[in-house]
Amino acid sequence: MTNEEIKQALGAAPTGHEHHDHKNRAFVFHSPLKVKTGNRKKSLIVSVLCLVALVLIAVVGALLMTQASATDLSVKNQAPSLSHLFGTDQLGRDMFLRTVSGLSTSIGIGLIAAAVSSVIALVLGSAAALGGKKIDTFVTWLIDLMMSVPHIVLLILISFALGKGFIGVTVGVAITHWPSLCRVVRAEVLQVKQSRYVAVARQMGQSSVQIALRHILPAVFPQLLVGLILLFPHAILHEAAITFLGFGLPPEMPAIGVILSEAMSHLSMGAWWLAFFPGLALVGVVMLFDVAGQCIRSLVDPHQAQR
Amino acid sequence: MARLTVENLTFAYPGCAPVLQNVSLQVESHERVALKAPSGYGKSTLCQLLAGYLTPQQGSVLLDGKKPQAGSGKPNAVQLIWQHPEQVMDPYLRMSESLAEVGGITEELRVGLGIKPEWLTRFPHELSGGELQRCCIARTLMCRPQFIIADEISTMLDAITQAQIWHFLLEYTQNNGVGLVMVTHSPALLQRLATRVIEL
Repeated sequence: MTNEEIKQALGAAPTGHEHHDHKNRAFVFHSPLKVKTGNRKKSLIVSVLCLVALVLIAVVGALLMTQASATDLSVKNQAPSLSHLFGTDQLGRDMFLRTVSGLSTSIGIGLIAAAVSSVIALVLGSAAALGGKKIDTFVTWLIDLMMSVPHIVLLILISFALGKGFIGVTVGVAITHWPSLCRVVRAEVLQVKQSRYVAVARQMGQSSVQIALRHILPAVFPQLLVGLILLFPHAILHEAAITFLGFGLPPEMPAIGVILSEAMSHLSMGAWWLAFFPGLALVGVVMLFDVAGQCIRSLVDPHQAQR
Repeated sequence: MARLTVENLTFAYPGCAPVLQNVSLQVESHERVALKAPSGYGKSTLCQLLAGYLTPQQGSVLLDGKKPQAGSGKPNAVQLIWQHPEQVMDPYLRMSESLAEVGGITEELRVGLGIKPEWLTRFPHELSGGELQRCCIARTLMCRPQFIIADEISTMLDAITQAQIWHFLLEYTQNNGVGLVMVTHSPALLQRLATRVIEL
């Protein structure tokens, strides 16, 4: 059978009227479309700027730890000025240096805790979705159990049991923050597992490991990455919260929680700068993570590749 | 010569009345069999059962007396070309990566199906339905199946593209001794292409 015969069978033979019948031609008016281009580049620039700012804060803060703890009683309780941008505290410590160092500590804890949480979420979420009904029931029960206890209570208990300090806070934040991301990973893996392209890959001879690595993991990765980045601010805020309550980092360590906790007793005396600037800086860092997360989400999604 | 046998096949989706009941048929590898039935009579379900995507409640699908199935690194000998190609390609892989999973596309297939080299560097959502369907057909043929099940593969394509694809598929199946089971709603196409028509 020739190509022409098949075309005829399909009714593709030209009638000779398609292009010449001007009377019956319908005119379609298209409104001018303004196609937004360059969004991808903008997202890339914004996310890189956010990440550079965060790395800069973390590195500079770590280098300034000693200076941040240096006391000078001759300049105690000074309001913000050009020599002390964020003012000084009751021991004459520069609040700008203490805030940057505190943010550095918070970013460090947030980074470790969020990374550990994400790994736990990925392993348990994938195991639940791919490992059969018993594992799924167990992981779902564990998620429900963890979510039924308020974060902050569990965090205080774990931190207290581990002797507080850096390790206590980091382990506490890492262990309590995985359930919500794990739930997302489990749902995502289940959805991808049931998709048609995975079924086709199986019929084309790919093993379960190949399917998990080549098809499921890349599909879950954008959600995991965004979840990881959005865990940072959550982890940082919880670290600051339990330190503020006295169950976290030791008082000698410059941390936002410690700074805010100490500031509470001096606010009534009019030293507003002790809480205002560190609080504002904390909100700024949380927002930087949020913006970076949103931009990276749009970058790793192939459906937005052309924008 | 391979033989695809369906014996007393019964299938029902969970919680629904059976779509297919006691269906039996036989297809030889030199045949081009068309399945004909109105919408909702289970043509696509039968296609998925033949290719191993669904498991029947009763009866069996056998290829030369054995159940056809994919093994480790070995594709199923009965391959299905789906009606909607956008659902069968991994959205996170470029065409070249998807085709590399079955050993990459040969030049003969690429030229025969009219696949342009630049399509291979694109993601599925960057291709049109017709372009994507050609890539899907190429991937299916790269599995070297003994039977191809074509489930309304050309309904979304223009007549000229349909003609090109069917022409190539016919040539391929004839030259390689591959059996073809097809579903189409076009009576003319059915009459021209099929060596046998089975009504459900």
